[in-house]
Amino acid sequence: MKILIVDCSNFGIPGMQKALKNLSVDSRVIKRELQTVRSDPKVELDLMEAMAGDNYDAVFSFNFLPVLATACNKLHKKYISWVYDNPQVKLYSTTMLYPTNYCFLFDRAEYETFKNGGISGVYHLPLAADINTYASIDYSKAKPDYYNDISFIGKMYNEDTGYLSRYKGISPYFEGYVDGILRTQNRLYQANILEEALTPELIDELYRLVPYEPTEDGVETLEYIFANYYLARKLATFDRHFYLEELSKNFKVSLYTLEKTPELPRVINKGIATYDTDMPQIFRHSKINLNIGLRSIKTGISLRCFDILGCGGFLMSTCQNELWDYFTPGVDFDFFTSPEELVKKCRYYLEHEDERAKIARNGFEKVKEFHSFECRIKEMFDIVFA
Amino acid sequence: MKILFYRYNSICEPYIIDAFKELGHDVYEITAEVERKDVSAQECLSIVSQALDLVIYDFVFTVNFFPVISEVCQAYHVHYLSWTVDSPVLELYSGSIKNNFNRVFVFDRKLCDEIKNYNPDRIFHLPLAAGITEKQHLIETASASERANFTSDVSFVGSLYTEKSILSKLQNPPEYLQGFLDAVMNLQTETYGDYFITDALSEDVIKSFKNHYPDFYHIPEGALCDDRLILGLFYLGYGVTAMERIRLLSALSEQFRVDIYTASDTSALPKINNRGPVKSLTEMPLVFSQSAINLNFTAKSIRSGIPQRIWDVFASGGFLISNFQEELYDYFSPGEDLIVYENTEELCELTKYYLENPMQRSEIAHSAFEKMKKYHTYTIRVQEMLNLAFGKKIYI
Repeated sequence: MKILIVDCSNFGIPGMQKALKNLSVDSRVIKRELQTVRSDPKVELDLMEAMAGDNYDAVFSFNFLPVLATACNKLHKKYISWVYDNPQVKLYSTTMLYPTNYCFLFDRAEYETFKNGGISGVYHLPLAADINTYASIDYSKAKPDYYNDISFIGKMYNEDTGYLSRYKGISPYFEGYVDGILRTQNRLYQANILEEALTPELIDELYRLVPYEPTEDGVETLEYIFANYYLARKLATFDRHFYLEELSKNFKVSLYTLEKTPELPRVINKGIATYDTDMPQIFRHSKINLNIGLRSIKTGISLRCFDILGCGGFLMSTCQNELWDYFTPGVDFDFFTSPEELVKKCRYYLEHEDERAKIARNGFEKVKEFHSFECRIKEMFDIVFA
Repeated sequence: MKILFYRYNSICEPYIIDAFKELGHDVYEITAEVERKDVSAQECLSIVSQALDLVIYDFVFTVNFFPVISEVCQAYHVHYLSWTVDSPVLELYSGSIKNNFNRVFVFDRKLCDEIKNYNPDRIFHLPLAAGITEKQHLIETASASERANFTSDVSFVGSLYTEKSILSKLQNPPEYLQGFLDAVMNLQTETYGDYFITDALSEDVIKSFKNHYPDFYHIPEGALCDDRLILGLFYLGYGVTAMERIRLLSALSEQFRVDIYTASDTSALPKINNRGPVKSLTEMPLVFSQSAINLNFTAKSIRSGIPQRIWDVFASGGFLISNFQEELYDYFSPGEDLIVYENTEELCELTKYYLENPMQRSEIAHSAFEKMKKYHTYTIRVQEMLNLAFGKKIYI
């Protein structure tokens, strides 16, 4: 069995290769920057040439790449895409209709949207931890900086730079309306209301600021874009500030992020953490690791959760429904639905070291056995090569 | 037992008195507030103290919680039982809730859970009830013309809360505030079972609202509520209920003949038939019994509890279509005893269906009525109240 892996500066490529090798599957990696390409005949041709030789059984990429889907379809080559980003507007492309697609989505709610929309070739598959890589790291040589009581690694979506800054001219009425939506969603830890909360008037106002037009093959709606790219990210900023602020009143909280956070004076901002070197050490050596999920993910488990558990860390997460399908609160992770609950549980787990260590260990064992790249590859291949 | 019953003319009082008597207790009534609406707290204190000076009572009782009576009872070391039958109720947030001679009964479980910690072991959940015999008697002895007068396809008895809407009274509210309030209220009208507005408010929004609403309730010292609760549950709660009732009744009155019995202004509902207010004791049971379909849209501030209207409809043998309320499932089976809708479209579909299916309506109404007779009379409920108040050994 031979797989062609297309690497667009993704995480986990070496992990995939190692896992495939462990399963006696050959693979070759080619690097291409296809993140912004939807359709381009030259790019297509190049990809077709790359996959034509060597008799590959399938082509693989992380995330879904329309131009790669097109190339595979033309050559009748199976295209396996394992989507770990959310939102992923590229999914809303007519190229999702190709019979050569095997698209694995980690958010079951999103998978069901496609399924119910009549798209075959989509499947639900949770993410996984790169156990091969994480288990081979030497955790004993950790810098003191990696030791934390509570830590969070993630984006804070600064509103002055980056994507959110495009919406800064929003009129005061709609600014209030948006804040009302976000604060409501923050309180509703089960229901997902962002898309339905967008009124026609609000969409008009957002379109005035960001006149989004889909590409030729794109079928995404304005509701989808504004709910998942704008509202969800703005909410992530709010949620993360909200919880970290409350926690920092009671505990030592470390934040690893790009942005400066003067508005969170009690939070210890330690700057960027690299995915490969810093992150595993931080997860291992922090007593409690937070996951404050992006609400564009409706039911799925964030990659961060698998990374935390895979590195032997203790996971304290917001309610991502699918966690309950594979894990048990109090046994291999724990969760919170309000700042009060978060503070209460953090206090408990900081005081109960043995229990905390046991939960982290249980989480690691479970992920090692059931949520490794090898597990997922087997599940994918069972479907693709049935 | 000897009971001192302080009355203010709540509709529940006669039924509770009868229930106490049926259970073999003696009831002595103070009716100052029935006769006059201007009884001051000082006067109330005085009247109750004097009564307690003269006779040794086993307990004092009121419908809804009177902080001043709680203080008197505390001073006299007499138990004070109160049954809260509405929500929201400001008095429950008074510091007097903590008095250890209190036994507080609350019909809404979520409200009960919210205040329980202020007086553990002395605050209990107790659903409402209805006076079945009285209603049945009224219905059975009504003349043909009286019945005809209240015959209806679809009816709703209650306030639209439009008169309580504060948003129209905001003075020059900033656009941001308008937008924020519109958002949370729109979203809340779509949601049952979870009243999130109170928690969703930001400190800035609360401050901004107070700046533009000069009559904002001034919270007395020692009270256990805050501006957030006042704005979220009281002011906005009424607004959301108003929006909801108007939206639903508007949709229904487009398709069906809908009667509303209310004192509220119904100009937002041009197609509805406004029959004006109805007398609770002598007319309302007839409305419930003679309407093909009775509607219930629980006020949003009643978060989980079963409102009085539902009990009254059942006790009158009426058929009910209602919004979802959590506690309904504790005592009744939707589909068997009543019908529950989840959204506007479904409400219209169900209304159409049940207008065309009188036998099913009848079966469902009958099922609810049988349950009322068996489990939900005032006598049963009052006995439960006494069991909770005096059953367990609570050290004072």
